[in-house]
Amino acid sequence: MSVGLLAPAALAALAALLLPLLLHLYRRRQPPRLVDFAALRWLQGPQRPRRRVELRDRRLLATRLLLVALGALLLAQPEFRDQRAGKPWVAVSPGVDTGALAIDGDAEWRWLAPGFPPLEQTVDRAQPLASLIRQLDATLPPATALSLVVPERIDGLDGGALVLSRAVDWRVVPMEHTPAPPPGAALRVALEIDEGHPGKRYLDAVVAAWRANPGAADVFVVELDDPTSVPAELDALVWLRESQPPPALREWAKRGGALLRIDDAPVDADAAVLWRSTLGTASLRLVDGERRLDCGFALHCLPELHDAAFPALLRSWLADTPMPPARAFAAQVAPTTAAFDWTLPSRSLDAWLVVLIALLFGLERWLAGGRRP
Amino acid sequence: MADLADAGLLLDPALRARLADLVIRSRRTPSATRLGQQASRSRGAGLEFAQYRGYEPGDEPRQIDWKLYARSDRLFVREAERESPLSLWLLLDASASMGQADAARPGWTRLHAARQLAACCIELALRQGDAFGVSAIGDAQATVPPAAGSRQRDRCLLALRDVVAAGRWPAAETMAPLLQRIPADALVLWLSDAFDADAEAQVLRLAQAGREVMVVQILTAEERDFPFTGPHRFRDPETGELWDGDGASVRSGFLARFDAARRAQAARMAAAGVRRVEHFIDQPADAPLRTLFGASATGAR
Repeated sequence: MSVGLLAPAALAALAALLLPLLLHLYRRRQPPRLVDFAALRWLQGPQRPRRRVELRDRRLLATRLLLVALGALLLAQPEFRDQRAGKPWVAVSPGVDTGALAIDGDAEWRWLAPGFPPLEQTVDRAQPLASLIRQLDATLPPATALSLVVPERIDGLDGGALVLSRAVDWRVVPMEHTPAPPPGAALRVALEIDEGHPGKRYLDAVVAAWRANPGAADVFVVELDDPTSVPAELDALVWLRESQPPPALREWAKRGGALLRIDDAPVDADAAVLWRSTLGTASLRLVDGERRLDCGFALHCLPELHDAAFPALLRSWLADTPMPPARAFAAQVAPTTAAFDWTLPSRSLDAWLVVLIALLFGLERWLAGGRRP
Repeated sequence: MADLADAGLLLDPALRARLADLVIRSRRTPSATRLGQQASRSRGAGLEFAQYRGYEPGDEPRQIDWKLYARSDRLFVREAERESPLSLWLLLDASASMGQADAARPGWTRLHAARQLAACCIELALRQGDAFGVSAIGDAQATVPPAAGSRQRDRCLLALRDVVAAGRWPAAETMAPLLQRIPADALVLWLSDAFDADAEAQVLRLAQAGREVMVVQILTAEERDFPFTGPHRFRDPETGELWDGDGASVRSGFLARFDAARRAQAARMAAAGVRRVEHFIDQPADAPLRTLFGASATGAR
């Protein structure tokens, strides 16, 4: 438990402490009270008034100095950091069977989910685990012990390594369930190709490549019986025809379907660019929700056609989001420790200070009441 | 009547009741007693209907009854009744120092206390049927020559009401005509702070010239206690002299010197046969009068 200052430079306002001191010193030089006194001739002694600070003034001066000091402290924004250790925390990854865990009352058991709810609540299985782990490390007091219970294969990681500010107990439990499939798998693609289109052979080659390596691409090619109606499970459609796509397909594209049009129709040069060729001759742009390649399947403007990775490139044109490296073996991604200086959340002490200043001001007015300025 | 009350000239009933047992008595001659209403024949030696009273310092030795002394081994003085008019002459100091009041009671100055004392004495004299007169001496001089009766009382009260404390006590030459008007057997009551040495000298000369003089020295509570703390600027109201000082540090010195000065003054007055009593303006008015005129008044200072 410690008290700190958010803006320590504001303590320079303590220089204002000089003001009450000067005021109280200056007060001594004011002319004294005039009294008619007929027995004056028997008054003798040192004519100069003795410089003696009255006790009443001292209390008032002390109150005013304290008031100025507290005002400077308020400007420096004091805060209260609770750094007590407290109970050790155990965070459980959603999807782990809590029945198999030995839950005791000595520790704080929570889900690794936003808000870190207690185990009594149910949470979604898909959670951004890496981000939550880092958040927990940053918000807990440094002295609190942290344990993490994770399944053998965890999802929800991001590209960064787990580096925390404390040593955590990384408990890996055997997996009893299948994890939720990561987004972006098993793309369902339909192809609308003119029979005589010059780019058909390239597309056929791509489809053949996808079918040859199902694990790498995870693409299902479906047959579209009726081009005017879009089945619900369709994720993407490749339009390689001379004619325009029917309105139903264009509506579907506007709603978010991935419609890839490869034709020679001119594309608005101001549209958003999704992909640009390395030579700068071709680009994939987003126009009205449709992904338009402004160059047909021709080698002179799209040299990537002869690239061995062209199937993956075409698949990326059709996919919504790239697959992050979200899944890994838990044993391989155990967090490491590095020295961090998290800025712990702190409670502002401003309200208390304002109340204290108000009380002191009342006291100062009461002490100063009835006195000459 | 409100202005009379403001000036301290109206006596409240409680004060009036306390004055009931006071009697103005002159001890100049044993033969001077309450007069004006009781006719009596003069007596010489060998008095028959004399009454005896104990010897008081200041009585003339020829009045002592030596036969009684031989019998009782105590000194007694014959007091015979003789019609001799007593005239009470109230001499009021109206100089600027009389305008000083206490901070605790700003409207009650020394002059107010003096006027109240004068009103009490007038009341006593009126009750006794004696003659009384008033002189207020300051920048201006106002005199009401002695006479008896309630109309005289009204004249005196009105004259007192109009007195303002200002200026200084005049020099001896200026005062001489007034002082000589005071009859030889009058009882002079000087109501003043008695700070002015010149005024004191004049009054003592009055006593030496044969008149009976009593002094009520009117002082403020601040002069008795000196309650000032902190830096003050003191001003003499008559000379205008200023003195700056810290109250607490000069207090003991002032009290010592002031006390010494008053004791010296008391000695001078006793040597001249003048009876003196101190009166502080926060005390009731009958206190000094009781000392001077009460039943236990023995003439001691």
